[in-house]
Amino acid sequence: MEHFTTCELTQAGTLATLEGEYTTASIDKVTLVTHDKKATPHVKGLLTVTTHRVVWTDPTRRRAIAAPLTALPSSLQVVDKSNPLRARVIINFGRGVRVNFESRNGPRDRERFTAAVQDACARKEWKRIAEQKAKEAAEKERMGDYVRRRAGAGGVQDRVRMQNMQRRDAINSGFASIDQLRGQAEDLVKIARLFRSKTNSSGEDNELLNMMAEMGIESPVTKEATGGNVAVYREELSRQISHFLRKRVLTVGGLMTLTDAYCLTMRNRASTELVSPEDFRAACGAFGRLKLGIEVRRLESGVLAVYIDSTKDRSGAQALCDMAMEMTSITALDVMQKRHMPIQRALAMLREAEALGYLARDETTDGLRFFPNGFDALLKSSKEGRA
Amino acid sequence: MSDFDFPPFYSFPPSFTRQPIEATRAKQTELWCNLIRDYCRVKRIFWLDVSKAKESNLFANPAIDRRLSDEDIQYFLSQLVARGDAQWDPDRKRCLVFWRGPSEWGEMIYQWVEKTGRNGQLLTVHEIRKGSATIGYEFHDLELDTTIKSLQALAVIGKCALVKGDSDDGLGVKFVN
Repeated sequence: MEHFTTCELTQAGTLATLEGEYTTASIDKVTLVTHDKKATPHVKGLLTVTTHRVVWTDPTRRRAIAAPLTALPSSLQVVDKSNPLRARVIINFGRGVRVNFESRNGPRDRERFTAAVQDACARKEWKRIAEQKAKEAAEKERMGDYVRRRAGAGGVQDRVRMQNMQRRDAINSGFASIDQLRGQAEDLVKIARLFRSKTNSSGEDNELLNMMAEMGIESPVTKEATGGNVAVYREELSRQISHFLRKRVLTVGGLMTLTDAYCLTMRNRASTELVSPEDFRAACGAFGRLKLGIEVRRLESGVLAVYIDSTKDRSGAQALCDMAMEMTSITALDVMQKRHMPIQRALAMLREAEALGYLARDETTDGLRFFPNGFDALLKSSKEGRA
Repeated sequence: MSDFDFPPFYSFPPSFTRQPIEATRAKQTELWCNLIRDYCRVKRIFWLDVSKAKESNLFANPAIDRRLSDEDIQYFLSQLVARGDAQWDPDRKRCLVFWRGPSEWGEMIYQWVEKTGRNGQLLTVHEIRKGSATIGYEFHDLELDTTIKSLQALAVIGKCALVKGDSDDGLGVKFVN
């Protein structure tokens, strides 16, 4: 197992992807054995092949080990010792790591696995990315020079024209094949990021560009990658969605309708990797079972919504306090408009923040306003004044 | 009457809404109690008449257009009584605010007695409160109930003896060394 090292997982138990990495195959209930058939503690986990690595994840999804595909010799040796019931594959990782599948559809899994590994080794994605990075760095240098030479409106126009061309090229070649498209979507994201860093310096409003740069779940779970195994697919999907939604749901106050969540998730997956509504619902339904700290609730109105208990999260109350500080005082209406959330939810959040001591109320005939809780500071300063 | 400088707390709008959260309300209550006590001291108010106080600026800040409701005034005064800084009239329409404790007043009177060599003399409460000899002293024109309480506090520690008179004001007092 010497080629395997522990690797990072997200809070939701999905793989923390490297730059440009995406999953090409994942197979559940895989046990690893050493080259001399000795048992390892790595039993019945999830084996994932990405463009960069072979990863084995513990069934509890608390830890994972990974071997980089770069460690493979140029000619991949795959020895197939499968029988119809049990797939057994040996990949030569120097001293050899035997991957023992205990899967009911053994031969099919073995095929997917070897195909994915061979494909990844052939494509050498990591090499391409390194090359691209070097190219980008060179480009940046050149551009910097260019900008210095041609500052002013003309320079900006030229630059935008050039970027437009780059983008058009990317889009045009993007439709050549689906596999290519996937690669090109990355380029688009990169262009968007580049755009953002460029326009940042000019201080323009770049909300749209930010959105573009943030788009894209790095490595969307696909049915194909899980070999049509619905249970594995949905579980992986569930983890990925929860990881993706967490931040977004918290920013809107811990509650988002399921339809909004669906639209947001679909928009953020590569356009070719859509999820059916049934799969999405099933994946969200598994949130509670997988203990992902996020759940689906039926609201009083009967609408299903993704919910995060934000009372456990003081950052929400702190954010409201900051907002109140900035505006002197806030009402539920202000929160509703700023955070785009239902008014009841806004009021509930204000009450939560009040209960945690972040806000103090001011009740008048005009309605209920909330101020940052200044009583503590006032009391302290009055005591100091007395002393 | 001297002007009273209201603390910053008085200009904070939530101060005029009784806070529902206990921890927050405790701090608010302490601030209100201090304010009432300080206000009475500066204005030299002994008996705080609730209906009069409502008309004054103590419980209403016109600058920020906020005022305490009647129930909240009652609440904060009760809290002041509960912490021992005031005492209700039986019908709860007025409140005797102790912005200086009876023993403190007593000590001041006793110091005056010692300084002016009135030890062993029999004095009436009226003399202490209204007599020309005490003009210029802080306890001159001290509220009657407070004066009696202060003298009682002195009697407890054995610095004076109270002699019954025909009325409260005619009550006599003999200071001892």
